[in-house]
Amino acid sequence: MSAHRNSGAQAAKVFNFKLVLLGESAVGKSSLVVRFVKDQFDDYRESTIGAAFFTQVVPVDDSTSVKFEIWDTAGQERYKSLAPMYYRNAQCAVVVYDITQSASFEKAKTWVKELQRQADPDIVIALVGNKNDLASRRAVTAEECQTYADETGLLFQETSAKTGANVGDLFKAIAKKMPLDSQKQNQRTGRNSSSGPTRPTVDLSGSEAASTGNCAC
Amino acid sequence: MPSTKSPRYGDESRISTFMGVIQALIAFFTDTNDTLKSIHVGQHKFVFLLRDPIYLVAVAQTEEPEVQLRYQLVYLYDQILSIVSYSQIQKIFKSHSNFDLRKLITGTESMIDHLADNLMTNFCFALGSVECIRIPPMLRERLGLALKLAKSKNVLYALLISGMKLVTLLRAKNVALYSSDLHILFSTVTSFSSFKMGENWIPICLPKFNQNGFLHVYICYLTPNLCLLLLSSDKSRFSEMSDIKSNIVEKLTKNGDLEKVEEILNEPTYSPAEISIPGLRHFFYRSNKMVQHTSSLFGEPYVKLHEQQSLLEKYHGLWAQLHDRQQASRIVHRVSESESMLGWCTSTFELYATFGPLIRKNTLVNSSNLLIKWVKRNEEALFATHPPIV
Repeated sequence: MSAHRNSGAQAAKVFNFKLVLLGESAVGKSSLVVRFVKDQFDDYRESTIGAAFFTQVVPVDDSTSVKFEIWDTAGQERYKSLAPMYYRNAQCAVVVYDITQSASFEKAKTWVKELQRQADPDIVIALVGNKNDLASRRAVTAEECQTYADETGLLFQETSAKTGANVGDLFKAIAKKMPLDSQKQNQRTGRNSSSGPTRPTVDLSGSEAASTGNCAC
Repeated sequence: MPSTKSPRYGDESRISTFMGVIQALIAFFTDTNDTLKSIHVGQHKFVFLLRDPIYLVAVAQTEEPEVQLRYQLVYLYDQILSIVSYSQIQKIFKSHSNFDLRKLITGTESMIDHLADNLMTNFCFALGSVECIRIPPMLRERLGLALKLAKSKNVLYALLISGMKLVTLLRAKNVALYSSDLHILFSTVTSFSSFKMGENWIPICLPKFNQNGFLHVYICYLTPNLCLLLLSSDKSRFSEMSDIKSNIVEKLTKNGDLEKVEEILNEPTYSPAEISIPGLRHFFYRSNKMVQHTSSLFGEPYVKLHEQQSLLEKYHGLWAQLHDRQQASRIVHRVSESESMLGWCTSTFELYATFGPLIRKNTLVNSSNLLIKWVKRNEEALFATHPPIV
């Protein structure tokens, strides 16, 4: 589904965007979503099986908000072949690693590469280092990831689903990155996309998504 | 365990000798074109299920009959297949005969644990039928009508369940799932509390349906106790399933049925006292035609979990005697100090009933007949008798 404006009250324009979470298993993808959507955290979380779907609305300013349609995918290798189904039509992706596991950062990089190769060329990607409450066990520095994110054109944020640190800010930053100003195009592509399952794209006026960007929060 | 020695639990080094011995034993019998089924050593029973490349071994010190341990292993094997499918296992072990199966099923520990616990505590696996929830027949019919909104060439099955129990279902013509597949499905769904949030879309292999392929299940809790499952063979149909769910919820909210059914699911099922049959303490009744069963609550003196567990073990004993391949009986009556139990198999039903220990034999027979009449009279409330087919 592509971005489109909900008909109705003029005061609250809601833009829909499909967001997919990717990353190695046990980095905290589901915990991030649950913190974002339900503001809850469970110390013990089961692995995700298949994928789970959530929605959450983020106000961008007084008159606009973004409704994220979120696909939380399973990180296990056996679900790898299903991933394209979830990122294919996504307008934004959150690629998560665990700051205490350097292998998970390497895995995140391969996800970013895959997205840049296979997903929508205009996809907004956020790289997220989760579990930053475990600073004493840190294995990946924020500087290294920031540099990588800058070079690759990604948003970057360190979060803690456990404490809630930066989780709201992360999604807000993504929402701000989404092309809300190109309403007409959005409406048009929105209509087009409903008629067929093939890659609907959001027409970005300018190359905002591709420009280097730090998390503006 | 896979034939290449990797235990799922515990200290690998401590049980590796044991695994080696088991492997040698299995190999010895296989070399002589024989199959190792079980070994009895003192108090211990070893039961083997060989599904190359996976060997499953149950070691028990309990009274559980061998036939029961064997079907438990079959269920555990089916649960593994539900995660990876038979063809994937074959493929991987063909190219890596030393493959550690655990790598392939990481993250599903709770699924397997949950099933293992269930196998001990839920009689449905022995009965080979699905437990149905008692609800007013008209309400079940309306729920079935709402499920008809799932009519689509992409939906094979639509089910409303509560825990491991069936509320009602809708199935496509020419598609019938085996109850063992439904058990695997229900056990999978109930093993993850995270399914209670959001909408879920999971691949699952139902081994009796097709051990080489995956179905996709849409899982969404409509209320805290009522869960909707939509089975599709097409992995790209999530949004259609989600729309179907919205329509069903809209319909059931409008007529108030969602609230009604949740109220019923919140309350415990019927007690033996409610049926008021002389001497009856507890029972299971399986309808062979519907492949569904019903059971009363555990009343006195089976209030504590271990008391219920010990009664279940006795039911398993009755079941094993009724289903002994060599000398199956139609009726089994066992009397002990604590209770008098009846197991009765006919072409239309199976009954497992518990009475007080002092009940006279003719009262037990009369009471059992009364119970069967009660079930017949309440059939529409106790079972999903006419689930819609589209």
